[in-house]
Amino acid sequence: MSYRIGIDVGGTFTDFLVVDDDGATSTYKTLSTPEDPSVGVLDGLGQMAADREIGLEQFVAQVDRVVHGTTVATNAVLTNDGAKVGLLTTEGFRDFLHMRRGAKERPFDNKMPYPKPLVERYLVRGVRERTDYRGEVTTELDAAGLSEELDYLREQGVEALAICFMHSYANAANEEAAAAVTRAALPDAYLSVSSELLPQIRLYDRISTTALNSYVGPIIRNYLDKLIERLRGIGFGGVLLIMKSNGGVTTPEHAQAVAVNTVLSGPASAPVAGAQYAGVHGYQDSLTVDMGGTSFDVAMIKDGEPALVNEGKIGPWNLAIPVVDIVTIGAGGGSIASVDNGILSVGPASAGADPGPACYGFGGDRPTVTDADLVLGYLDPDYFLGGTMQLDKERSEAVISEQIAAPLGISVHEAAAGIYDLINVNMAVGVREVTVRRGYDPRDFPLLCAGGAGPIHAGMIALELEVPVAIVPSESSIFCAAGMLMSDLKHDFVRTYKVELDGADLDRLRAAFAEMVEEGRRTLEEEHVDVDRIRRQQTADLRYLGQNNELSIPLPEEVLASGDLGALVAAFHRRHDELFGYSTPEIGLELVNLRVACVGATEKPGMVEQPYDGEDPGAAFKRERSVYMRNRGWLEVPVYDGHLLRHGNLISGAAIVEQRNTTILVLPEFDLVCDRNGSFVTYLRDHADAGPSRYVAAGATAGSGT
Amino acid sequence: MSGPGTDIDPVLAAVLGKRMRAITEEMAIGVRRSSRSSGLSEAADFVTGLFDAKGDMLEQIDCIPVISFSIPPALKGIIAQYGDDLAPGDVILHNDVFSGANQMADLAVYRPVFFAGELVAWAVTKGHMADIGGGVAGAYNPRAREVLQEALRVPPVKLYERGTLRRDVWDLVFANVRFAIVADDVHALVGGARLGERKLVEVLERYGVETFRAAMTYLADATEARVRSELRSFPDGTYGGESWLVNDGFDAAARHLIAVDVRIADGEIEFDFSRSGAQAPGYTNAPRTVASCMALTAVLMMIDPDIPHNAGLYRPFGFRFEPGSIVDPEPPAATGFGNHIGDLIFEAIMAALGEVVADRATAGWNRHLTCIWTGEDPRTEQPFVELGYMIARGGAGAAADVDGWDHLGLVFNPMMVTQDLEVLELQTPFTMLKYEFLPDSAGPGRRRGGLGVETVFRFDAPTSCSILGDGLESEEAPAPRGLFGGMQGTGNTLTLTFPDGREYAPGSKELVDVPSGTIWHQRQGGGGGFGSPAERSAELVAGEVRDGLLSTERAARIYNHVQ
Repeated sequence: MSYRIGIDVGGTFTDFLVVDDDGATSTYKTLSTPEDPSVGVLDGLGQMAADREIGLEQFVAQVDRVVHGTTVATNAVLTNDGAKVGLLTTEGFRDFLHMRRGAKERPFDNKMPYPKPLVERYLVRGVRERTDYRGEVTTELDAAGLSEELDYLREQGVEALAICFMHSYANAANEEAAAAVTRAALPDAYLSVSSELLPQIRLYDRISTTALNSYVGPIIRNYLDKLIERLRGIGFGGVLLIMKSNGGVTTPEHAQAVAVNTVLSGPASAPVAGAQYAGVHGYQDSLTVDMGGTSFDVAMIKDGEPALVNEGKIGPWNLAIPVVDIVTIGAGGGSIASVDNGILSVGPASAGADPGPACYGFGGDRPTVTDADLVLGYLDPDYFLGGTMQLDKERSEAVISEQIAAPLGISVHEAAAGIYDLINVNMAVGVREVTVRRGYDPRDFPLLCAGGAGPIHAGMIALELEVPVAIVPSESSIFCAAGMLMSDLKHDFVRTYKVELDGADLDRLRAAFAEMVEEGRRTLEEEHVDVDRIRRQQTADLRYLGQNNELSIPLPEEVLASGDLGALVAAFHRRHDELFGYSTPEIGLELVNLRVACVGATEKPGMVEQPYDGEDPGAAFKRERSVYMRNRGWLEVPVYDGHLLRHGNLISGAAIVEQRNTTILVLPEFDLVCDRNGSFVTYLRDHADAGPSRYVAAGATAGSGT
Repeated sequence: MSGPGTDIDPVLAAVLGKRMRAITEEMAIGVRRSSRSSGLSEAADFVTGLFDAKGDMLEQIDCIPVISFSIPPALKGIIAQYGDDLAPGDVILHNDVFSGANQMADLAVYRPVFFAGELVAWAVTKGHMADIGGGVAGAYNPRAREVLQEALRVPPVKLYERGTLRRDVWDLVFANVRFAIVADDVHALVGGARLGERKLVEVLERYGVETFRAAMTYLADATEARVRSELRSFPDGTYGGESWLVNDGFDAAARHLIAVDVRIADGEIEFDFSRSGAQAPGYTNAPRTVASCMALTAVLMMIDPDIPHNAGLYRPFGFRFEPGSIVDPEPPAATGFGNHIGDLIFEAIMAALGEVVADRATAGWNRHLTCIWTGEDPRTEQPFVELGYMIARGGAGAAADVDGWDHLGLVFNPMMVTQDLEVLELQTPFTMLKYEFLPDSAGPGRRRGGLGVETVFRFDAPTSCSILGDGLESEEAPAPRGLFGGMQGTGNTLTLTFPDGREYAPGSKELVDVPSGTIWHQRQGGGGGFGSPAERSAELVAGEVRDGLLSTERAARIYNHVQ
């Protein structure tokens, strides 16, 4: 037997998905160990070995692939706990990183502090050198002055260095010269050079991304060194891959060199998993929604691929690399509800895990979403986390009654239902943002629900958005770990070529693409990817003449080869109208950047197909329970054990499906069917995509059995 | 007010409030990403909002308060003027300060939103244009003595009628405006308003007009109640504050008083500006909407900053003006500088309320100094216009709990974004030489003021400069004041060095033509401090000395810092 393991190290839990040769899966959760996350990883591997009643080394010897996602870099940035970085900039522009182009996110808030610097100012050093906007060096690098600055930075004990000079995207000569001096002077320091990392216009974006790379570089380097050492120590001889923010994976060596690529890697694998789970039912477009304790992440899948944006943000800093387009809002099970002068609001403040919702009994005294879910009967106080944690429903009722129901003059159940509705609307706004800002209608996207708290709320989010289908994978609580095993090796490249499109030198375009494709091929080759498993996507960043922001439009090889860019131009006008409310075809276009994404396909684990078991869910029936729904009052609904539901079993809402780590609320408007992979598909009963036939195995028709 | 117990569902009201906010944000993304001028696309000098059929605010983005809070007065005028003569697809253009607007260069697009044949709401976008005609390119003419010399006046006019562009109106407007990008930016504003209409109609289709109206009424009433209850926590009384405008463009030594008496009583707040000086001879007059916008800005900083921005917010506010004064000029006064008096009006209000609302007031902010640069770019032989957002970055005033923000700038435009310097050099024939925090510019205090910025660049083309601002040390403008024992911030300096080596220190409101090769050297000052410097943590002081933001000499003299 051989195994593949996806490992998602989160803030609280480390999730594991183990897949064997036959596609059979098992899941594990261990407590994360933030001081050395590899400890929690080893704990999990130990449990897996124990479950299989073999020794750790014997088990590990059978593991041929580990894909690993980590929030180590994310947390370092969010808690100001990165490496001590020395930043070398063009003399005269020391503060451009910290200035953040003058943004104040909350303009009227007189209690908001100025962001702490990523690099302390005494470690930001100006270097005499200059390249102009054409890429001509107007001042040669002052190597002697640079050496003095490097001596100073060495004395200060920096662990990492970042170099970002003006207009280096147009000519890297001065940066390359400075990098050579720096490598010789501080050979052990982690070094990031902006023209290597991101040869792209916009000083702040480039300086921020380069500094972030050095800020997290030594941390990722040390962390992965330690993890590799530990894995080798127990005899692991397989392939280790690291999850990136762009939804792809890479080797540990590349992750260490371009550490910034892991900064948003935590949730990036969710849409990769989503694409797979939705794809088995023929949906090329879908949305993943992941509701945890404090935050709600939404990502879009379009044409079978996670949607990307060309720039992200972490904390107050810009991250100008392609990242999976994830919108995170402050909404989760721990979100706190309050009433101020008759206006009910929920979140973004959260009770987190400590003290947590009032019903946890850890001292929380504010009403939360989880308290509302409990009061409404959606959660079973005796079966939370499979019954390992008892919830106190009376405490929930007391805090909701006192803090919400009384000031609004409504009953405790109406108040709880109000909390439930409002958090759902907040989440629906996040879903809408992901779709509408790209010009899509959320009604065309089935929801893929991840996270323990999500499936109680997904139905209402779907109703709010008029989304007809919501799918809850059986691995929903470890969705990201599952996505990691489905991710491909992926590298992004960009070149700035600023020119009026009409006058663009197509040979130069072709050469730039060819250069990036070659770089991608070389990188993937180093990662041992066969040439026939490489595919690529080429895009052009275009805008109307005079605009300052671009839209990325696909520019396939055939179009470029034909020499006629008419289709590209038409696609741009169309997209512009969708997104911005107008287009002006009479105005010419300007090309700004060329981009290539190179993907090396990995072997995906197969999904186990269950035999068809017929529609009757009777074997999974547990009992009836009272739940409260707005405009309907108290209803007696059947509760089913999700672990016992089988392929084809059909449930008509209202109903509840419970698993150890997840509860699904099936609203009265929905039916639920267990699909051939064991995922639960809910659909609006009166919609075109209704009926179980689409979701059960081919040949198995509703009611026929096998 | 309505509230608990009325028949509107409070949950649905909150839901629809969120939805309005989301729509205005979507409109803003559209304008930001598709507009041409650096003012809109890089600096985000615009607002988007939704308003009800009477012209009252439903929601707007957190953006430029001086632009946004002046929409309702203008919109009410438009509604009164057109009455029933409005149809789906109409778009009305407007900028006229004598019919409710704040500044001619802030051009607005008003789109009525109809549902089932009925006017239900308005989607509005409004932004600062790179030019609006008049005597000087870039919309700031310090020599103007009346409105006609400074800008094209656009009283309400239909730019689109039932969805069709009125080419005659379009041509009339843009025949009077210098740069083609202004027309492009107006396309972006119209697109943003159309997005707002599309999205609002979806909401109306789903919930119906009655529910929508009831929810909006509920939210405005609830917001009003929140504002009133916050205002009741302020001690009742009348509080006076003053500031002085220095140099009116004609007389560098002129001083014009801006005075406010703030009366707080029983949850209402009245701003009486009638003690302010007479209107100035040139463009340093603020249409009355500017003062009311700054009053809202100041109060928003003193109450819960998350309070919804709708009509309920401003119901408890009252205003008094003396017609013919510098903050309520009479036609045909020039007013191009009016927005830029906003920081002085804010200064007067904070002077009045600073000690009353101690924990949420700020010390004085930097008085901004900026410039509009125009000329022909020798690289492209095309005209260029650059608005000096990057040089307008001074320090904010310190507050009770936090240091003033560094490199922030205009209090009437706090969401403004600095141009990226590489993009700036690509678009405009300037070579940037220095752009860094200005050490020793912060007003000392337990919380220090924000730091100002030093900017040095070279003009690589002959350029016309329309300098506008205040706070020049050479004009003896007052420095930003400290609060509760905090010390004052610093003023601004500006020196031009011509290629022949001659130096010139221009005034704060002046037109200067410079040859290629001239060097611009500006020190934008820092904000005032809050609380005694003796109470500042030694660790913070040592850190700033180490970082080169505070000289050892100043640290020793003011903070008793020993190295």
